[in-house]
Amino acid sequence: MKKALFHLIVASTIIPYGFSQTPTGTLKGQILDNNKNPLPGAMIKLADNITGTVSDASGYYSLTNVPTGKQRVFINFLGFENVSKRIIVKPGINELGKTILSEAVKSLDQVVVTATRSETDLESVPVPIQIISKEEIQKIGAVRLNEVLSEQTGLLIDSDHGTGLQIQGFAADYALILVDGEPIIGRTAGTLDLSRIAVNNIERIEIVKGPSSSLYGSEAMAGVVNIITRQNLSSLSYGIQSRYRTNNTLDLNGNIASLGEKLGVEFGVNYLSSDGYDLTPGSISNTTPEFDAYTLQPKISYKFTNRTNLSVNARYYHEEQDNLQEINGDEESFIVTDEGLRKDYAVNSNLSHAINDRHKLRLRNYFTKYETESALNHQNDGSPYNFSFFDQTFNRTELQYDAVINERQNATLGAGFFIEEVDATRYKDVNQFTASYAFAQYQWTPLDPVNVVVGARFDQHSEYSSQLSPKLAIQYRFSEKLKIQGSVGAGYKAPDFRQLLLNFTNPVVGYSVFGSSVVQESIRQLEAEGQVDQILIDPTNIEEIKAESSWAFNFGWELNPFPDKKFQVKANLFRNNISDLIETAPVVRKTNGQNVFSYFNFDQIVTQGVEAEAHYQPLKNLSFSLGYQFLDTRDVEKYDELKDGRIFASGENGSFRLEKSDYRGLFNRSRHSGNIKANYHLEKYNMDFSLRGIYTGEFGVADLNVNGIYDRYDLTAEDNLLWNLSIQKYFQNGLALEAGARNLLDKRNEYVPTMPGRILFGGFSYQFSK
Amino acid sequence: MKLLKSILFLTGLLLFTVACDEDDDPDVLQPAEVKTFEDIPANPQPPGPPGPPDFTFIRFENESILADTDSASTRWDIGLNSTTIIVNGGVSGPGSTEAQVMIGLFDEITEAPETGYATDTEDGNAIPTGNGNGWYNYNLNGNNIVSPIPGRVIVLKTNEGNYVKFEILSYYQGNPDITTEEFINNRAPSRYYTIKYAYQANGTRNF
Repeated sequence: MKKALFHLIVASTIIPYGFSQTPTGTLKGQILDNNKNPLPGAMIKLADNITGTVSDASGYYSLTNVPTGKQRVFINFLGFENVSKRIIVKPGINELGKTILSEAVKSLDQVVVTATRSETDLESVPVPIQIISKEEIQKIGAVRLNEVLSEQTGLLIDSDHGTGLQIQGFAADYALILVDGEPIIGRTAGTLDLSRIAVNNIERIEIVKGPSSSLYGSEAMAGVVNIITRQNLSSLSYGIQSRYRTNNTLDLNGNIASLGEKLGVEFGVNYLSSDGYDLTPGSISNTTPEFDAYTLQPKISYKFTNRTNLSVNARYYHEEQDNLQEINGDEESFIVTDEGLRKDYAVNSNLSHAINDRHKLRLRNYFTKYETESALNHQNDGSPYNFSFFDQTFNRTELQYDAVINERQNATLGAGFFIEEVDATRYKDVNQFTASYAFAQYQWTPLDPVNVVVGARFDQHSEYSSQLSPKLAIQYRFSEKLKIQGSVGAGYKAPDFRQLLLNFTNPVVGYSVFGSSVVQESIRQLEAEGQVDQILIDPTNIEEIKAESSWAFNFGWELNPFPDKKFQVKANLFRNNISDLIETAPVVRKTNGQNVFSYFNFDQIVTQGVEAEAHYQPLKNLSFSLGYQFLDTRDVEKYDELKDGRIFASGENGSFRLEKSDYRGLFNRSRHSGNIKANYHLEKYNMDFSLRGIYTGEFGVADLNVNGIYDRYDLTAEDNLLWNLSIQKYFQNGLALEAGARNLLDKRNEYVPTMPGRILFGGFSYQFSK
Repeated sequence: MKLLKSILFLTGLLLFTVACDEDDDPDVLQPAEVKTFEDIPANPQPPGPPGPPDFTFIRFENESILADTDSASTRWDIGLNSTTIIVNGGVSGPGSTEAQVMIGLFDEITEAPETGYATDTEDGNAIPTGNGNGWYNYNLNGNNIVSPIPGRVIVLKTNEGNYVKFEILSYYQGNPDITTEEFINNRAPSRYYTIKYAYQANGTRNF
């Protein structure tokens, strides 16, 4: 019996090959993309890897000579997710119907520019990098950059002087934000407010974690966020979009673009206005003020020859805010109106010339200006109470040379200089700084599965010590299923304007703070005025201030156990050792008993942790993902003091000693954070559903016992889990509708002022392109 | 059996010796009594512009507040005026009081240091003034609250040559918990010191 079965199996296996008269069938069908457009050139083949065909101009295919019986059909198209189908083939015509291929989330030919400053295949970049596509931004219904970034694993929003970005446990000061490779300037207390940046005109966002000072210099210590603006590839395209949200928030967008053989012109406009919101009904000030803002983004490109291109991208941002403030005076309190103006503009010119296929030169100039004004006037009679301003300009010129040495080696060399100017209420005079730099990078593929990137940058600045930032990154691909990568690099952050220039005396208490560039002169002046009681640190002995610097280690892996990337897990371990942190220390005691402070390098901190993400796509129109970050942070010296038993806390009956287990790391850092996302495409109605849960663990708010550390007796903010939902409906003619809710369950946290309650939204968009 | 006897004998002898030691010199190991001096008014100001410095002079020996007329005497140990603490010596008084601020816990400082004391001079007080310099932090999280720095104990060598250790528990009337929302919104009057102290009357450095 067994033998008979064996023969049967052997026979059934051999027959299709051995005898040509075996009945065969023909498979017919059509290949379409997500938008129901035909996909010509898609490959349709059987498991034998021999029988195959290609779809025609209308996406139709016909595969003949398919053996009858159980078969598996594979459909592949570059840039799209692979599809396989199990079918039972009958003799004659087998109609398979329409097959929709969805665009690959990470297609093989996806190119990124941020990690190496040149176009590099995403798969071979050996450092942690995250891509957010314009489709994803559209799907979540985001209006501003903070809304997009807050949903990404390992990126947290810092609610301090605006919405800042926290990467790998670094405060917002240490993340570099670029638009088309050039930095946005204008920080308030170190925070670059992400809500200044509209996201309607974005092609993709690239986020490189870990230091990139070897390419970008200062501020690229925690990571780099590079916003690539929309790239028009059609001869004519235009679109409009309108959204309305809770708090009378209106977001309007328009874009128009044309691309000819030589000339390309694009123009984007965004308008956003809102009534703001108030989380503290007891106070007269709104938590977020009433505001309106617009952004203009013109772009022009010209192709002189096939080898020489010029592009000029500009950006103009204008924002006005209105709020009220209660001022508590000595005798009575009164109300002032608070009008704020914030604007920035930037012009980014880029001339590129390919000498030949292997050598390319790029000359870039970037000019940007940031201005703020704040006017406080008495509400009753309109008389001025206070006026302050801050003006900053930045102009940089840079030349970059890219060379393809051979198939396995690439080199990039660059050099540039910049001039920065700042003028502000709390600074004396107009201050000008100059700096120059040079960088080099070498990319090498010694063996097929190995990628090596090594680079360094040298920065020289007029106000602080020179800085050398090297970096080495290596990737090894064991197979399509597993790759590992590791990198070690130096990062730095220049002393900011406050730390260099501040010239401030508190009118009420009487202490003073002087920046390191002005401290000597200011103390001499105080001495001449007879205000110096005792010198604590001789100002002539103060060493030149140094940039804050770090060494970082990243090690990660990516696992794709199935060939169609149905399931993917990746993780990255990181550690950052940061030294020479700039803090204030008293320099002089004044005759009024108060101190004069200046800035010095002394602290050391460590941040370390792991970031992990898993993606699972059980069906082609359904996907899930899970992200998590564990973060451990530490002030090195304070932790040593704690271990030595020299850190105490106050109790009812006097102080007591803290133990190591009482330590909770740095303030404002969530030990745990993560997200869970589900995306579903309902094919029948051409609709997208996206539900995301964003978790931020508890974090330290205030040092209640003033012992210089965050311990278990201090003020801790509760954790948050926010649910965001968005629904999109697409129509054939380019029209789309959207609706959804941010913070669906209306969670509030008094220590997160940038988190409003539930926000409902709805809108439509129309996009045409030829 | 013999062995057991000798052990018992030796143990007895040891116990007797220890007991005798304690009896021999009762002063040396007599710990100073820990007391709390509550709500010492340190020139509390009525609302309005501050008046001239007006110190409250205290004497630890009998936990008393002295009259202003005693300011020129050597009877007081320290004087309190808002957050400033003076000692009776140097530029502040006719006595010879010296002090030092130690980092540590009250209970663990069982012996006053032999050296390291200072008195008030033109260049500064033995107990430094100012936020974060001596005994207090100011502006606790933007609420303008004075809070004692945790783990600061002041050791004083009085005019009589006796040692006192003390820790300031509070700057507010009634020693309230200053970290609560309730305190921040409706705070108790300031410039009322509550001090935990131990006064060693026998002239030794043991507490």
